[in-house]
Amino acid sequence: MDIHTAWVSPPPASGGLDHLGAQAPCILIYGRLLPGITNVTDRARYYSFYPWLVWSLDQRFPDADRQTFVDLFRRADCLFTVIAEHHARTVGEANGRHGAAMVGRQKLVAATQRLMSGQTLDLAEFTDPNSSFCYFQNPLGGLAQYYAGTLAELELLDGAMRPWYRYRSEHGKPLAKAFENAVPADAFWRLVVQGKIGSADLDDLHQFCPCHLGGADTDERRRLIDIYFNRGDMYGELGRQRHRSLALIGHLIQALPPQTEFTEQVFRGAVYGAALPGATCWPLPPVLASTRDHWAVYVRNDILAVAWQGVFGLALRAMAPRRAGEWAKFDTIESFAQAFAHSDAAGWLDKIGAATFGDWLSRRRDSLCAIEEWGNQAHEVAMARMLVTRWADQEDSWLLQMAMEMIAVLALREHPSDPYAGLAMERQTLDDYPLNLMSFQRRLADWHALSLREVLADMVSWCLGTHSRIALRKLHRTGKATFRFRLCDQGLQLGSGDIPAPSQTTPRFWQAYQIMRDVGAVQCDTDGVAQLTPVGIGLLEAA
Amino acid sequence: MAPISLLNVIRQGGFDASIITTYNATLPFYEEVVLRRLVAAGCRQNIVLMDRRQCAMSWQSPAARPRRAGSDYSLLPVTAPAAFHPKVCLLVGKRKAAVLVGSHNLTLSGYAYNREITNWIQVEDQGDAEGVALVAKAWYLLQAWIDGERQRVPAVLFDAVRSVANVCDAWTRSLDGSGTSTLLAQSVGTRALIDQIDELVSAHVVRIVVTGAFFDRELAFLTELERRWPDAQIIVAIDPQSVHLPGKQHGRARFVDARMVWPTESSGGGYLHAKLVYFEAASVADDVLVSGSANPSEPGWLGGPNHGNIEAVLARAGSAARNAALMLGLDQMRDLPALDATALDAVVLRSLAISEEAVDEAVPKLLVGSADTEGKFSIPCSAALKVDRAELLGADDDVIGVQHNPPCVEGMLRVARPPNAATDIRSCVLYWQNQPVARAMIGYPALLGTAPKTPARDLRDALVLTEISGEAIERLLAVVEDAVFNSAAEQEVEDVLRVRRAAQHQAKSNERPASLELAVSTTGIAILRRHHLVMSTDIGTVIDVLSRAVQTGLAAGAGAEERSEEEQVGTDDPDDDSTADQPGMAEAGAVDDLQLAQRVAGKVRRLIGTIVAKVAAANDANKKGCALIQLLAVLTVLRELMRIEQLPRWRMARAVLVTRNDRQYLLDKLVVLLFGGKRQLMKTIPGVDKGESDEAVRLRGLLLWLAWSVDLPVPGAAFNPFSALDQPDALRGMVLFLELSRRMAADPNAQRDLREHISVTQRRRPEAAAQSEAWVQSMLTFGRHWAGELREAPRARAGGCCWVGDCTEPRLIVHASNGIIGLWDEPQPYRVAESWVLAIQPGLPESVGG
Repeated sequence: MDIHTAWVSPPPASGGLDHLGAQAPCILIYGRLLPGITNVTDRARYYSFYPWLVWSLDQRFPDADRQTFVDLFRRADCLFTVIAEHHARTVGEANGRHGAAMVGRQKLVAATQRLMSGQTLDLAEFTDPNSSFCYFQNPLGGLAQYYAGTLAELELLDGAMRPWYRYRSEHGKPLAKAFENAVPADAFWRLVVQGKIGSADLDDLHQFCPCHLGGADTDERRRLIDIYFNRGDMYGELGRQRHRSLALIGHLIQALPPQTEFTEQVFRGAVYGAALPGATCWPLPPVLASTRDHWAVYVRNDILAVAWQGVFGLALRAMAPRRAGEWAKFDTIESFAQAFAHSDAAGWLDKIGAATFGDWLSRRRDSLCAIEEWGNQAHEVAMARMLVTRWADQEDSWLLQMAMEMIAVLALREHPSDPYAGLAMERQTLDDYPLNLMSFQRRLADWHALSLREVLADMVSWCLGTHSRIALRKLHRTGKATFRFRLCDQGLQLGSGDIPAPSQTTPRFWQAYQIMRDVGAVQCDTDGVAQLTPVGIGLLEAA
Repeated sequence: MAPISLLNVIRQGGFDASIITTYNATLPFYEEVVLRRLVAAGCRQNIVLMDRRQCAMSWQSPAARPRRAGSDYSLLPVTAPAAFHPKVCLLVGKRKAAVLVGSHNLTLSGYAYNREITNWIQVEDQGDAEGVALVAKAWYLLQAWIDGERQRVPAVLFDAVRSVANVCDAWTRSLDGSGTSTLLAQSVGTRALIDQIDELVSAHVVRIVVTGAFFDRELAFLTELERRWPDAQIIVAIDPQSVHLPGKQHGRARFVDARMVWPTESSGGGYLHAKLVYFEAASVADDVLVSGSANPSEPGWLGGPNHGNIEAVLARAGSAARNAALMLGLDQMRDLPALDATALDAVVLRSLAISEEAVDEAVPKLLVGSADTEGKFSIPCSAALKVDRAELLGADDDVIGVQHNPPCVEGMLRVARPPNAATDIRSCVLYWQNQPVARAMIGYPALLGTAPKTPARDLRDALVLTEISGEAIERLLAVVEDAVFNSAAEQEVEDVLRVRRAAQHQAKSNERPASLELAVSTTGIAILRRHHLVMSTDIGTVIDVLSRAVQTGLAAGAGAEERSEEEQVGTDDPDDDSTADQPGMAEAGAVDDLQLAQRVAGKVRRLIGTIVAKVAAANDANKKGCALIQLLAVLTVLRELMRIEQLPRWRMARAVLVTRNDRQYLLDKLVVLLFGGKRQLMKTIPGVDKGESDEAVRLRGLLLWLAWSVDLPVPGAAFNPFSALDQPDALRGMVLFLELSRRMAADPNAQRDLREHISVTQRRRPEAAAQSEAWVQSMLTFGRHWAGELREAPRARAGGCCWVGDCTEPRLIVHASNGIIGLWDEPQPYRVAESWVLAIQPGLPESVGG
């Protein structure tokens, strides 16, 4: 028998994102609408480079043991980024088509600069995990960290026997061979083995730079376009969905008025309002209409998530003592929520003069801008953006008003009985993440006859209660505590972590856009104005 | 001694039952974290004993309310003269046991954030007399507290809770162990804690160190220490910022600031909630360290047979006490300066102010009710309790049913259970003249008792149930669900996989495959060859264990619980396991996953064969009904396995747990067995034709789901199967839709369930969702046509339908000639004279497409 008398130890704390689980449906939606491209797969050429790297290692170093395999892999991964960065500097262009978002670029920018000034670069120094210059910590570089899952999903590589990544015969091997034919592979490997690199050595390897992918009609590019645009229906539903989302982006680029900068905000507004800037009509082929509608659901959910995050963050701010020694004890979430609804931050509610939430909506309806007018500052797309960008410099009351206005506007928009219709959203998912469009609609019915303060109190209770559930689930699954507040013996207390600011999710938009640029379907001028290339137009017509 | 993680102690495994006592509790924390870990570690019966008033208050707040009490674990409110305050956790298995005795309530703070002290007793050998004695003592205390509630709990529920004795009694064989540690309790009928400790403590005490979070107004406990040990120096270590000390200092006790030794919250510590008394003697052998639940207050230490709190403490003696005291830093307290009078006065004033502000919140009385086998809830009631309305509430406190003027029979309120709410009711609020007068928690005895068998054995047992009753069906389905999703097995496989993966990973890491080329088309074959080595012969176990293993992938695969895609941006992990977090790639162990999938698929095939044989062999009404219930269970398992197939990890591995061929085989067989003319088995389930029992509805929904899963085309309303007369599959499909879709079309709830079945098992793509919805709509349209008014058709013809005799169920005609009608059946059509049939067709003749 052992007896230990000791202090009880707490679980380790963790930061994390999405403390309300309100963004989880958004992540699920964009994952379903744009499969095969993710927020961490930034460049198209990695989709061919990594299969080639594995295939090429297999051909050139068939007897390499584990350590040699990893070392060579890391050097090649590192060199790939250096080449892209070097090429950008050589041609004097911005990085967009060259080194942007390449793996380990930040650590290699200065090294490339030194290289350009005549110094020699020792690859071993940049790939040694113990070196302060190490380009990337993950032993298998960007493949293991970012790309492996996606490349496996696309049946290009298999990671089941890591570190021995394997290339798939059906899609991976032909793509690898196509890459091999497009680059001076032998010179690349000579440099990898040699390890010492001079600027002149890289001049001969510029064909590796991602910018070369979109420049010519190569077998490599054709195969990548086949993948992204599902030519030949290689990936069934998954590929068709990706194709439609990329085609939607392409159509938007084509439809935008001249000189309009193509941004994520433009994409959000256009799909949500089904309109171009200036609330003008966005004609779209019927086959893409449902895709646009699905993206609109994503944007709507994301706006709602921003509003909830705003309410949650403001409630946390209110929990923090303003002055030393100032302390208000709340034994329950509900009592705190009531107090919050009567705090200074909610003082603006008095000025509205509406007896109930329903009354407020009725009045608000008169000033509601059309859903197509997403450029209007009073439009929910713009308001969500403002809540995020002005979080740090605005008063709590302004922020709270913005969050509640967003809720009101969302309430006033038309909503179908099943807001996730056609998106294959499971009931269990919605139960697990209770702040979603479906529950929002149900709650609206309950709020109609309540006063604004009662509604606000309910919102706060709902957010805090949901955070507790989500954080408990994270504690169970990960063993890490992410509680931003807790109900303890001394009442409700703010946790030790930061108060999370509201944020929007990132719907794989930039990655999709970048990949379209990389394969030469889109070109972009220095002002950010995008245009479809003939290749892009051809792909659009095939949609 | 390093700090103890209570959550890690709980997850260790090897325990069959747990009993946790607490004053207050964050029940969602218990349910979401503690209980899940207990169950995952194989702990099958779990009981929480909680102060009755605190428990009643928990039900009042949505954030604190239990959602799973009564079905997944037993929550027993305990009545005490003052407060039920012990914090004991007893974990008992066949070969090992553990007891935690400390200051930690079952709250998030108690387990995670406060400064709490615990005593962790580990016993790994039933031959360890001292250890067994401590476990037995803990069990006797808990047993007494449970037994104290016997009169307040319906007998059947009480017996279910009390059945934990089946596990715990094995630890009561030896009581002659004596050692340096003693488990003590102050309870109803016992002496005061101080008297019990007095017997253990030498008169030659040099110093007494006291700490705690709550003192009484008179400082009666400190006064008693001074009286009993007049020569001892008394040091009271408090956190001036948080301690509740409403009494003025007097006597010779010296108050010191504990924060100087123990960190405060701002420096990494938390609310000082620990309670201990350390009697330091002149000789180490005489030292005694007492720690546990008792605050240094009158209710904590000076209770009696009928007053004071119920408390539990562990007294450690001799060098064990001295070492623990040193480890806790108690020796440093004697060197601390006394708190000055001003600081102490401020503490007292603050505490008094809080005491005055405190208002005893009115909380409705809390009762404990039980679900019985007659479709009723029994709630103990006294003559004084008047009730004119009972509201039955679900997990979210949503009203599921209302009964006015429930009768009181032999001291029990009898409230009817709403139909289709088998175990959904969590509590019942009782009203008198529109005012809530009490809340009754509802427990389900069938789900709470000890089950010494494994989940897999439970599944097997359930599949051979021979009687059909609501309880039997419920039990069967609960067992199936349990068998498929029991976390203990999930953990078991997780552990096995972890070990295997680690071994394989290591082997693989050092052993390069012959080629790095891998063909998608050959992956499965390679796996098949390998998995024979590990194949089990136990269908239930394999399905149970493996399906749990696949479900484990959900959390990681979904990415939301681990690192989401948003959180993945900009990361760089020093190991290559980060692949697990990547979108679309939950686990790298695809080979293992495929092995698992192949094994599951093989077992599922045999399970399907078994159920088909059972349905076919059922030859009397009881056995037929029983076979249908078994079928319902099997279909439920299949649906869950197909849901699991859609999880990222298994999609990535291209894992098929239930093959299409197997589903098609099952469907083909079932259509013949269930709807064939001779057997008409579907009609033997009670309520299919009359009262629409929940089981019948569920079975219909799952059969249609099975049809959807094999893309069975929906025929047009006025179908014309001439071209399909030679295709048995098409004919079976028509019969199935004819039999099932008419009732489905009239039942929105069943449609919702069907859509849910489909939604969780289809590819997670909008296109797939759209196709599925189109299929459902076609099926419903077909059903509505044939459920509506039917009119006489011009003539009986092959491909049409007819009524036979006075039966108004449409039958499919497969041939009509020479005055003889052939009605669909297999292996041969059922032949009747044309004069016996009336050809019919839908009232709405337009085609609806297939």
